[in-house]
Amino acid sequence: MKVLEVLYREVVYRRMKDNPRSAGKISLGLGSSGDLKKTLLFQTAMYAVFGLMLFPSLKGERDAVLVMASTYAILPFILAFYATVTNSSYIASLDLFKPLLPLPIRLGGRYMSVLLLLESLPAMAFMLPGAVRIGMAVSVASGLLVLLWSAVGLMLGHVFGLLVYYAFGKTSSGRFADLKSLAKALGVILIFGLFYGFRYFQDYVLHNYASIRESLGGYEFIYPLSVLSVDRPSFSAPLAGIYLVILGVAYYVLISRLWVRISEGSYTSGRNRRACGLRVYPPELALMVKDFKTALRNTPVLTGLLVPIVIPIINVAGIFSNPDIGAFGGRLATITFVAALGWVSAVSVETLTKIEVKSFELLLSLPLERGRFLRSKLLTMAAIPSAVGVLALLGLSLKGFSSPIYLPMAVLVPLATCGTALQVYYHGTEGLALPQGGILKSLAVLILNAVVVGIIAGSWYLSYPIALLLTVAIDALLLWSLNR
Amino acid sequence: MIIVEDLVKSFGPTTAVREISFSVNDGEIYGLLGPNGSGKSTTMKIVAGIIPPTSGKVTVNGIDVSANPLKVKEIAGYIPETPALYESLTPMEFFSFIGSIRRVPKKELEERVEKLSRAFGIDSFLGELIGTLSFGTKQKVSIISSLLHDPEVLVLDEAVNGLDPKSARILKELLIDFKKQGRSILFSTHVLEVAEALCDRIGIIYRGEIVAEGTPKELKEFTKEESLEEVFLKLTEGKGEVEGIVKALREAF
Repeated sequence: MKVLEVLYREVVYRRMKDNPRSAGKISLGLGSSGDLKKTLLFQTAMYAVFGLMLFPSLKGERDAVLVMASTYAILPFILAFYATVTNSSYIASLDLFKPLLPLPIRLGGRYMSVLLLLESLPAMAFMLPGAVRIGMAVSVASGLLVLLWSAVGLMLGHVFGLLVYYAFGKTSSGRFADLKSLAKALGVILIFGLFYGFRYFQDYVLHNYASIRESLGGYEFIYPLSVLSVDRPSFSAPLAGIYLVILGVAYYVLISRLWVRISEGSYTSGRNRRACGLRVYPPELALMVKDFKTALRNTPVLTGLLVPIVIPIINVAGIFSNPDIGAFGGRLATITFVAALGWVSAVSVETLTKIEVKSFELLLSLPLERGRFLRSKLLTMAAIPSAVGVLALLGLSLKGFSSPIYLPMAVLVPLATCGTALQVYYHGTEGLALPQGGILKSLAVLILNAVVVGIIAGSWYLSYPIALLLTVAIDALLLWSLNR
Repeated sequence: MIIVEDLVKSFGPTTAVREISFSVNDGEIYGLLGPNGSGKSTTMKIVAGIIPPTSGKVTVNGIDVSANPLKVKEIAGYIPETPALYESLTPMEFFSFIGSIRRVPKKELEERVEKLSRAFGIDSFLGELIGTLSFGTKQKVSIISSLLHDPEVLVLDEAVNGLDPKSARILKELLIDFKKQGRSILFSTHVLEVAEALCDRIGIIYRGEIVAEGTPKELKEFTKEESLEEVFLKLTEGKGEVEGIVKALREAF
């Protein structure tokens, strides 16, 4: 535990130290944010509150409660997978483990693993109210088994995430490296997509559980359907045990190899030379090009940038698969799609701020204004969701589900939400800065962007021109504010 | 010209730099020497406009660093003690990035990259990812990137670290040329022979204060010591300490 506490403090310290303008506040900041136990307790409490908010939705008949619980039990898996994939490169890039390398430590990879797990471990508290509800509706043992299966999901997500980092976490070089990296990132995203798809499947099951439960029972050994078995502890507990044993073996093998990877230092695959040639861009574009090149050569970073488009793409797929939607339904679906796109666009803010951590002193030594820097970050964040939004709306328009006049919103709404996210993250900083992330800021971004998207979608429902003007005004206000 | 007046820098309760004053004239190489943690790097970062001072005044070619750090960054070239680079870019892409941010015209950028990369022997690595390069080659990339905008003032923090003898020699010759062209150069190193050979004047900084300043010859006369190493150890209270430590170590092993 001591080693972990030191490493955690080091992560917080490095982030603060790399931002020389906050260096004076280091000792002050480490007192609260550098304390592992306090941070964990706070995050656990926040997730428990989240879980309580979903608690009332676990209602209805016994089977319905079980099916819903199994849906929510995917959350620890997704959180652990996402946190592990997107943070692994960042943690590795900090060279935290260098002082440990000469020491006689076996399985040092476990330190990296646990540091990454700390991000998602509090998510277990999310399932606590649900487990209580199951405990009340079924039995205490069943409630405890929900928690056990959440832990299995968390470890499964973490092990998968480590596997992705181990297999793809190196910076890619050589011929077609960018394409390979993109393919890998899309592969990771496909896993997210599958689980979101599964969620829809579960919704279907929820409405038809009575007739399907019996046939579904045959697949109860597959996670997360296995959560459905919590009403039969004699089957569920050994099954969870088998999962944990298999995961334990996979985890052991993985962290042994991870330590070898960490010992080798920053590792780059491929040795082929890249095309040479100097190109000069305006500063904002130069920063964008740099960020996208970094992302294209690093799967976890690219995944962080691409993840925001998963939900809206599934949303669009839903519209395409419903040919009887009608003009009104099509307009409503367009509003919902753009709102979802805008709301999730800002998720990449964490990934983007982390790109700069290692070389932040370089940026500070350049004549780069804060306004330019933030504008470039805004464009980088909004570029992928906007491009996807425009393409999707064009597709929807060609199929007659939407109209090309809505195209500007596919760009303006992500700009508004990404701008809001940057505003929250960089609040209280001066000049070029590396903002501290964390659950509070993430929550603030989610809530504020829900408000922004809600206002835009509401006004769009009433009148498109008003919504367009309003969104332009929000964008202009945010740009003005970011430029200050 | 760099003028540092009563400069103070505190990080919370720790004061890293305590009311130091010195100046670097046009066409002069000024060496800032001191033991680890003496405040050299902090001073250099303030001069380069990277961190703000707590109090005191620093001007670089007449520009107040606190009031206008961006203007200072435009005319200054800063080399950090550890290369700060984007490792997933190639040196060529990195130079494009730096040139773009500094708005160096493409033709000038091409000429400088070609000349400097050939001079430092990295022309065959321009297409490799920086992450795959050795520490010394990364240091060369860092040095070249700080020279791309033809800076009026140079701030070099341990710039010869990790360089092979040939590249170190090239850097030294380059700095002498810059000096002849009238540029001000603030230079720190732990290699005292380099400091003695290169610097017109030297300031010895110890525990955040400048304890002595002068030409290498003046410092030797002032301390009545034969070499700059002896001068350094005497002024930083290291001489007796070193002897005591060495004696204790001999007894221990």
